[in-house]
Amino acid sequence: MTDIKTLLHSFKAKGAKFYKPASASQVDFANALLKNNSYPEIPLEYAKFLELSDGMSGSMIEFFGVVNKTRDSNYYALSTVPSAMQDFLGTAKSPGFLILGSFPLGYVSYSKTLSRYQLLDITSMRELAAAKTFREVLFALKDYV
Amino acid sequence: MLRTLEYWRDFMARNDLPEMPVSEARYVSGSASRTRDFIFNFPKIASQAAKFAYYKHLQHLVEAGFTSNEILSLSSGRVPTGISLWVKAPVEYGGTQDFSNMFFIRMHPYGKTLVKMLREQIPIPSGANSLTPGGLQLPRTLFVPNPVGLVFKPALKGIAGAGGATATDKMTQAGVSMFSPANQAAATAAAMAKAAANKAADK
Repeated sequence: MTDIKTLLHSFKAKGAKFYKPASASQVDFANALLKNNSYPEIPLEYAKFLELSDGMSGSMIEFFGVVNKTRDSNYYALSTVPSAMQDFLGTAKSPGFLILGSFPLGYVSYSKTLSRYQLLDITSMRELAAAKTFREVLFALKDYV
Repeated sequence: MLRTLEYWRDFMARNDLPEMPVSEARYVSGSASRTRDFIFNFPKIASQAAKFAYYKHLQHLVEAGFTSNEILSLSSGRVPTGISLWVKAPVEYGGTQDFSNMFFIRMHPYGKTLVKMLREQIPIPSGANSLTPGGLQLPRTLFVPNPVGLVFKPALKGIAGAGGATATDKMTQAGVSMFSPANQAAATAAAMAKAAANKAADK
């Protein structure tokens, strides 16, 4: 299967927006924020993606970063993982999973309890598909970019 | 706790969407395969909806404050970043793949309100294993946003910048929307009618 960098290059060619890479200390800081709210930490493979680009914004898909972004000319700004958790989960605490991105009608999450990435239905939060690696997630959602 | 339609209308008003109509949807069935098919088929549906919006609702896109680049993107079947094609009634509540069950909306600042509305009605319980394979318990009744048409036209357009840490500057926006192309056209038409009436009276 295609590796992450090749997939990201093809996403860029389709018009996806990439960001300045996050540093290890910025990822650590986000992890501290998440831990403070009893949320799971960012999985290692996703942290490696953040070191290539601090998130990604495609046509119908977003992968959240760890550093706050300034709004663009259309007042769009990509969320960070800690802020997305608070926005999407409401009052839920220690959910055992981390929201890493969103696509129409669904979320990309990482389940700490199941040790796998999940595509969740936005309404029922039912698992639509699961993946062992983040690369598989990118491949599954390539049509949303 | 079951909220009423009035509560959700008030909720919209309190969250920067006073003009967003709310409807009641009844639970039909929780077919996992139908939901999955709908979601994974969505890129194709969205691409068709984008072109349809461009060819049939161009005026609405302009009135809704879409930029020329965003409109150009829609014309090629690509949903621009920051714009969402929101589904009104989910599949479990009888929602179909028709364009009449969808609308384009700018995610900032409105998307958070729609997500918040959904999560208040279907909350995620606390706890390390809060998600079960079958998903969350769905309520019999779900209140959903239900604007007219494929493009949601906000009264307060998000084109005037943020008016604080989290809120939008409503006063500036109201001022800007007064001078929107549609309002300008209406004002011009009214002025022309008044001039014609004055001319007739002079005769």
